[in-house]
Amino acid sequence: MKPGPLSLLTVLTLTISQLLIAAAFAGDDAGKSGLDFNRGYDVNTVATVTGRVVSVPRPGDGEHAFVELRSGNETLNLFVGPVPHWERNGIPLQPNDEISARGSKAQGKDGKSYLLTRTLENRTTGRQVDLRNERGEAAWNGAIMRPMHPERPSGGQRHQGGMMRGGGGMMRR
Amino acid sequence: MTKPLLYSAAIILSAILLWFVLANYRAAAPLAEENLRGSALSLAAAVESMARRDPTLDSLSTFQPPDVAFFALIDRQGRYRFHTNPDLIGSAAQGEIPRPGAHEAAMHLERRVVLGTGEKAYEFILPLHLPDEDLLLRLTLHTYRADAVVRRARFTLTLLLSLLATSWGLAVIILRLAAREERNRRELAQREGLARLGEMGAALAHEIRNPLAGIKGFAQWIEKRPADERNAMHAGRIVAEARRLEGLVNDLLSYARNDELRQTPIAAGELVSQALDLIRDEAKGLGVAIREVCPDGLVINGNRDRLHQLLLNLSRNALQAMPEGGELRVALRKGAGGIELSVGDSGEGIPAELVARLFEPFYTTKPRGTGLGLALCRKIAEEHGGMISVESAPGKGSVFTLTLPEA
Repeated sequence: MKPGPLSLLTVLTLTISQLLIAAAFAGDDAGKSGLDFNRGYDVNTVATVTGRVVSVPRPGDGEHAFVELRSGNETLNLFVGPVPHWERNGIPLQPNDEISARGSKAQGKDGKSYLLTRTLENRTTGRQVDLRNERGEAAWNGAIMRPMHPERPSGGQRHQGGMMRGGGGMMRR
Repeated sequence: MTKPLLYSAAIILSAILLWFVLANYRAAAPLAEENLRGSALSLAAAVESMARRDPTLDSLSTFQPPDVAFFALIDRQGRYRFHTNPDLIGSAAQGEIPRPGAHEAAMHLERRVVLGTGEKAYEFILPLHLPDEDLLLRLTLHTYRADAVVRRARFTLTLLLSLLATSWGLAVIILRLAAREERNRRELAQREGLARLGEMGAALAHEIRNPLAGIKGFAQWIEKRPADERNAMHAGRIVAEARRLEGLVNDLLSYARNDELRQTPIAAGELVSQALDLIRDEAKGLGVAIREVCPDGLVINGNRDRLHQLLLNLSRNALQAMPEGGELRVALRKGAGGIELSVGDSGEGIPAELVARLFEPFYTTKPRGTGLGLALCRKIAEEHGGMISVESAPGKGSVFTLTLPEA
């Protein structure tokens, strides 16, 4: 049976209203931080945070890799680069590991606090990774990294990440 | 009377609700700005107090309110005397920092800025006059909490708009459904009435036809062999009236007929020509010229007798509309909905208020009409899966258009 114009009108009205109501409840900023994770960085908001890992990036989480960190009463989302980059060059992290991160802090439109991480150190394992240079240029965008801590008592530096595509590099120690 | 009142009330109510949420939405942004300004002034007062107590400004590093993205104190040379990022202390302030002029009443500057991270923040710039030096406080605040009032207002606006749109949409649907239901109910009642009328008419016609045939026969006999000269004239009148009644009875029986039509492919042009041939003499007598445009090759499926009756009715109807002569235009063409036949006259036309009732049975504007001719035309057209319509303008004549499916 062919649907009549009234049936089509009813379906159209209900669909539009559902979309509008969904938009009202979701809000235009829902799930979106509005931050420029790949190129964004502000030296004014640079800070160091320490705390314990709540959750670690998992394969299939999406485009961006985040480490959730509990620092005092605050929960921070540490942006540690695109997922493929982190999977190739990241350091092992486990929930409840004590970590220290330095980077540019920001608050997203979703109300969450983020840190666009420059360096990340897992104090539990002693491993550290540099994700950006001092100007905040990201390793995955081809920024050439210089060793931040050329000498460490725990055995010096070793390159594991190698040169990145496009000339970028990342230091893991 | 009730309907316009209800519509007006609904429109007024919608307008009031809309005005309310729009006003609320428009007030939200200044309110958020005011909240941010209030927070900034409080924080600035706290920073000034700490700076007065500790001229080295070292104690400011422990001041970390949650909504502050960063804050800095800039000296007259444009260097950071203090910054929440200690790496920047002593360096030149980046970017152009506007300075509020002493003549400005507000003594401070405020603006929305986009930080390097992409975050949209609120910046507040205020001169601090410390005992040893004058500094410029640059305070940047997160806006998420202050903007909650804007988000709530936007949510209310979107929700109300969607609810209003839904309500109006559903109201339109319900009204259209109710109108359709009412139309169906009226049509059903009309159809039932017509069916009863048809049955009654058919029974009556059947009972009338036989005695009428006898009356006509005897009148014709008297007309041919009158005992008195005057009787011939009276008998002629009886025959004429009997024929008229016979026509009415035949129309009534045709209208009440519900038997299944035997349909065959018919050349439309030929059918039209045959019908027009029957009225040529009558047209000539009335001074009506016939203009016929009937291309070959158009074929319809239908019952030849019934369609012939339809065409004859339409043509005769057109002739009757031109008692003083005129032009009868008959055109056949292939249209979007099938084969279209138009029958137009150059008569007086039909007033608009009568057009809607033209196809109703027993409705007629002629003093001696039966009111069944056009009703029968519509019935035949619909029996064939077609339709009939009329366009008429007083003084310009009428055009009846019959549309039938192509074979």
